[in-house]
Amino acid sequence: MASKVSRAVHLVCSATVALAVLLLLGAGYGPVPALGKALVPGGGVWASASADTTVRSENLTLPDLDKPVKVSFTAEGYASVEAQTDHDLFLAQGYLTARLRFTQLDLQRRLGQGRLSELVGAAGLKSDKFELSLGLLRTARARWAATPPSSGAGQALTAYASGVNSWMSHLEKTGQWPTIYGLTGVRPRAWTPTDTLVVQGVLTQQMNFNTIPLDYDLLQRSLGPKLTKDWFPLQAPTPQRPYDTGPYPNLPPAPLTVHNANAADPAGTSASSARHTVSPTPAGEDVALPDTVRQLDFNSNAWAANGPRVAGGGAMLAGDPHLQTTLPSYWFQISLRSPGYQVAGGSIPGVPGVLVGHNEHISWSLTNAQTVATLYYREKLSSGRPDSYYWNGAWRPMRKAHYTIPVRGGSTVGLTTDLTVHGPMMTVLGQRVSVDWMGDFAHNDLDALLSANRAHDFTSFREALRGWKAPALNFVYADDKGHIGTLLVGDVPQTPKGSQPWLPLSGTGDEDVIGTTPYQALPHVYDPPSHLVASTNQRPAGSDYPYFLGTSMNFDPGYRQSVIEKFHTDRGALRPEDYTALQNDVTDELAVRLVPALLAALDGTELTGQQRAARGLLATWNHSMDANSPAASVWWTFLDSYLHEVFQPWWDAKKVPASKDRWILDLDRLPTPLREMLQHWTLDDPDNAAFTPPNAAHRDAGQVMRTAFRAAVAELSHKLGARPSAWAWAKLHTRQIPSITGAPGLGYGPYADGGNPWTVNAAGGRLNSSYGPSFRLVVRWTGPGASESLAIYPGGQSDTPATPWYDNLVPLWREKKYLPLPPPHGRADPTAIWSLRAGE
Amino acid sequence: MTAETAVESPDRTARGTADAAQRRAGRLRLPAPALVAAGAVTVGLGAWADQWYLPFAVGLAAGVLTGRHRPGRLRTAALLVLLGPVPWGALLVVRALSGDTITATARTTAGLAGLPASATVTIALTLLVALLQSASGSWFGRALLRCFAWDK
Repeated sequence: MASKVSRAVHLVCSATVALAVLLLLGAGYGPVPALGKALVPGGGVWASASADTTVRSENLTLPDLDKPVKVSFTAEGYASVEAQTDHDLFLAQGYLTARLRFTQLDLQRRLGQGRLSELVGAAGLKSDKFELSLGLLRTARARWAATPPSSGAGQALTAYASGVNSWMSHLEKTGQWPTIYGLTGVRPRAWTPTDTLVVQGVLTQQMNFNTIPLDYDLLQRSLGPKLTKDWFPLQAPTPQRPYDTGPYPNLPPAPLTVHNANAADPAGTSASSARHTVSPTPAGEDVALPDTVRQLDFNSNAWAANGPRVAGGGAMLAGDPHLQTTLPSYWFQISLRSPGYQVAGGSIPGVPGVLVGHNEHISWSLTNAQTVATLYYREKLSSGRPDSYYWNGAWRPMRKAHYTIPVRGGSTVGLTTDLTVHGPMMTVLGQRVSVDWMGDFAHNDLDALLSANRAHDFTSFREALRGWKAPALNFVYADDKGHIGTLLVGDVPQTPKGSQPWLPLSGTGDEDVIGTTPYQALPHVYDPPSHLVASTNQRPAGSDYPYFLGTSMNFDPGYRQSVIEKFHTDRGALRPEDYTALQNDVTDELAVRLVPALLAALDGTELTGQQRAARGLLATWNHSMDANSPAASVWWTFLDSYLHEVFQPWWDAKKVPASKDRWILDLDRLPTPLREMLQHWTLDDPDNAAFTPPNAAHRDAGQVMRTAFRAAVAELSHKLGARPSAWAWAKLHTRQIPSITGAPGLGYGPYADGGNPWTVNAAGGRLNSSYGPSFRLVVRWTGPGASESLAIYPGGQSDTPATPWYDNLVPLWREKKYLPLPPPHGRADPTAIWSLRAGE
Repeated sequence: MTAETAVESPDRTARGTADAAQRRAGRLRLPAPALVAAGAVTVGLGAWADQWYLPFAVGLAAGVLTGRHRPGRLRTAALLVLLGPVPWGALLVVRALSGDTITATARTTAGLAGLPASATVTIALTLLVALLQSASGSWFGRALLRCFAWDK
């Protein structure tokens, strides 16, 4: 009997274990994928191991091609496409990008569409909820619906999608899906033109979606209106360096020409057309732009010179847009040649055309304009009228957008977004507001970009970009006839006089956007007498510019601008190698301005031997944040200490909610407006009340600087040892190039390096930086249709870690080396060629 | 004169003889090597064909076959390794030798899974999955045999 019971128990136990094992390995559990399917050596993740990831010469057939196409590669992976029709050009561009960057394409569109959770599980939910609320997908669909199929953009989008899907067909046939799909068991959908527009939206939101009005509101509620106005002024008191110094036309705002794809239609929002309402939408959880796509530090550079400033005359341009440095990179180098296009430079994977680069006659780069682009409205709501809001004299029903979010390893999550005439209702930084974001409008920016790719002079370039709306950008230009220019393009919304768009606005209708800055009134300059144009995210126009552009929280203080201008002044006619040197310069202009004041404050003060040594380092320093510079460490630590010494007592006394928005309100990030104010007070107002903490004895700038200096030396001594000469900046400061998947071990670094957030070779963020020069370009025009161009970026052309082209360009970028850009109208020296022809 | 001898029933006598023989003889032989090889090849070919569950199925069969003879823990463990991790591991080796980027793929997989980005981690996990299947299959097979075949 006992034996029978024992056997029965064994049977039940073993059966249970067997079932559990089979279920776990066959279906997975929660975030753990089905490991049996994922790890079986003949499939799963191993399927990608047999993919031939080395690019070699091949003959390939693609459906939908009209005529043969040639794709060639240099040894480092720079790609060139030569096609006989524009349709084939973009089809080949889609195929090429998909073949080398498929995982990146899919991840970017999932991010924008709110479908990350489908792949990565519950970890993607926060991001998905944000994106579906903000509405990148709704906007992309509206943009595609408004794009005529026969238009340049329509044809390019369709052809590009066809190219991507050609590669996807190959993956389906062979089963050689990239590793992430083998691991998760998820299979991507076919690529559509809407997906390209979603990817475009992702970059747009990264560059110009911000919470500045809500941050101002938090500051007003804590610091109070006066201190907020004094410390975060609309116009910084320090000298700004606009590239357009006026005079400025004063024209009526241009009307909005398309509607917000994420807003309720004003014409349809009358009480009589109220839709059946469901139970009141709950307040909603706080949503925030995921840190993975948030541009935390704006520090792009673009400049151009001509005439006597360029060796041999002509014009020369340099551009290095700053984004998060990732593997793979945001950029994909390409040269495109067809009857309608001859263009080379950096493209955005997922988007046809070239975003920064040159064609046969003109070159361009860009910086983020950082003008106001996100407005917030406090809607008038009533508990007795759920799902309604008051606007223009009547209660209106909110339009509802419903979504279901599939979650790998979990239950599907439902999401409902309420839309008002201003935009989606979202809870941001703890406030329930509707969001009016310029990226939500159904414009045809791609058409503008493709037109710019075909422009041949400044007039046609400027006209082409009239249709570019979001994000607002500063384009810097140089051409083969020796002309240079800079222009701001994009929608800069204007609200009625008397309204304060840097704060949340009233949603009742009297503070709605009345239009945008007219295109002809946007800042621009052409062939200035100085023979130099430069944009470094600074305020582009002077204080008398008649349109609202933003506040001191929007713009760069101009430190990089100063360095670039001084570089041109101090040297004679420049060559490309001078520009590559300048792109890698790490001079800290703020240090140039403040270190003398610090040294003066320390004069006559009793210092310890260690403090004297540290002071001595500063006194002989060239203000360059070099990796081997101990003075750089002293300066940085002092500045951090100085800013905290001044503002931390106020932050504590006024209970500024720094945790609500770490990226703007946290003193550890040395917020730009506070740095500017500190510079201004130190040099021009050393007795400012800010130096005296609340309810404390009077202090002035000198006293605070001495305190901060002593604290800095003590901190460095504790961290790096007793000898100031050994406090190399590299011991504190590193750079890192993380994988876009977030997987540690698939990135590059961290490694010790120089620079800081406001040097020309910027290292955004704190002491471990993953923001910086994501692409570097130099183009020198030597005559009509003749140029030499160089480019490099920290990454590689492939997103597959197993390939040599995953990160092969990083060492070159680190060593400040550049590669020639394959010319759009000729051939580089290829090491591999794909010959594409029509067929299945 | 005839001596009286206590005579047991034939069944009890036979069983007792067999048990005694087992105890005297100690470990019995494993199933024939050919069977083991066949099992391993089945698992290997099944893995090639993307059939991830075969280590369990073959382990179950092995459990049934060895349940009666009880080969001992060490030999059982060896058997389970031969029927699970060995064919899976061998397939990975064959693929690596034929040029597939097994090590790099393993490293990428570990990184994507949030584990240390080391090829060893993924390969070890792969072999562990196979072993888990063969072991659980074997245990279940033995339990089945003991439950149903024993009662006959």
